[in-house]
Amino acid sequence: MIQKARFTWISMPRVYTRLRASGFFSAGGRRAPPLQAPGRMPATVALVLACLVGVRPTLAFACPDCAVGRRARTFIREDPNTWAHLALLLLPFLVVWLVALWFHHRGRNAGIGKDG
Amino acid sequence: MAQDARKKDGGLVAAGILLGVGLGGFVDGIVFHQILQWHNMLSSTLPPTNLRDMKVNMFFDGLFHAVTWVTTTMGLAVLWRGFRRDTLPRSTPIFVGAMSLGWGLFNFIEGLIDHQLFGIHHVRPGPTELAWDIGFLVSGVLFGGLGWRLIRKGRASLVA
Repeated sequence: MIQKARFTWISMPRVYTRLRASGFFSAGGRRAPPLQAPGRMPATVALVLACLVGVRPTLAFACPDCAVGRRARTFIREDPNTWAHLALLLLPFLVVWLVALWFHHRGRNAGIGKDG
Repeated sequence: MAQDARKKDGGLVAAGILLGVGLGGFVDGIVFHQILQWHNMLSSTLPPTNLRDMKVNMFFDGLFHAVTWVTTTMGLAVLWRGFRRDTLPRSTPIFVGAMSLGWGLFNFIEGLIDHQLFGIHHVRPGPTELAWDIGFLVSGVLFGGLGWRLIRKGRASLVA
């Protein structure tokens, strides 16, 4: 039900209530440990984004410390394929870095021979 | 020009390749990953059909962007070092050609490894994914070929 609802800046209090109910904010919105931890999106920013930008609350729920975020991080940590995926991500870069290195060392002398 | 003809162009080509990989990677990341929302890093092994899997894909897309940024920085460092030591020829065709070569090379290698060999993702997952993947490889060959031609042209103009 929450996911289907669409809020605009007009319904800011309603979004606030929903976010509070979801456990993102403590009463009063001042002490919300997960969101106010260093490096996390401040609660106010999440609220402003959710209301003023007119996004669906689902997106606000994707904040770093919500349940989905925690599930995603746990999955990444525990997935046995994570390192393989990381290696496959890096492999093409590694190849082009080696090609660039090769060119750097064996660059042509632009017409005057290799030894310059 | 006469002075430039005595300088090695390897540093310029290396810097161009790295910058081409970086800038091409950012085009890929911005246009394909974010705007079109295709080509997500793990979209074949973990299709982003729910919020958790979307976030996992987003994480790996972020790592892709991070490595792309590192590559761009490496290119800038090589270029700046060459200019400071005055060891690089000032040749636009060689530099632009090297960037195009880098972009094409990366598209081709990435397409070959991640799309064709291991299949962790495709350019646009779905029934036409093979066509899109081949198009990606062809774009790599075209960019690479164009880049190589420009480098040769630049080298020829330095000799002349």
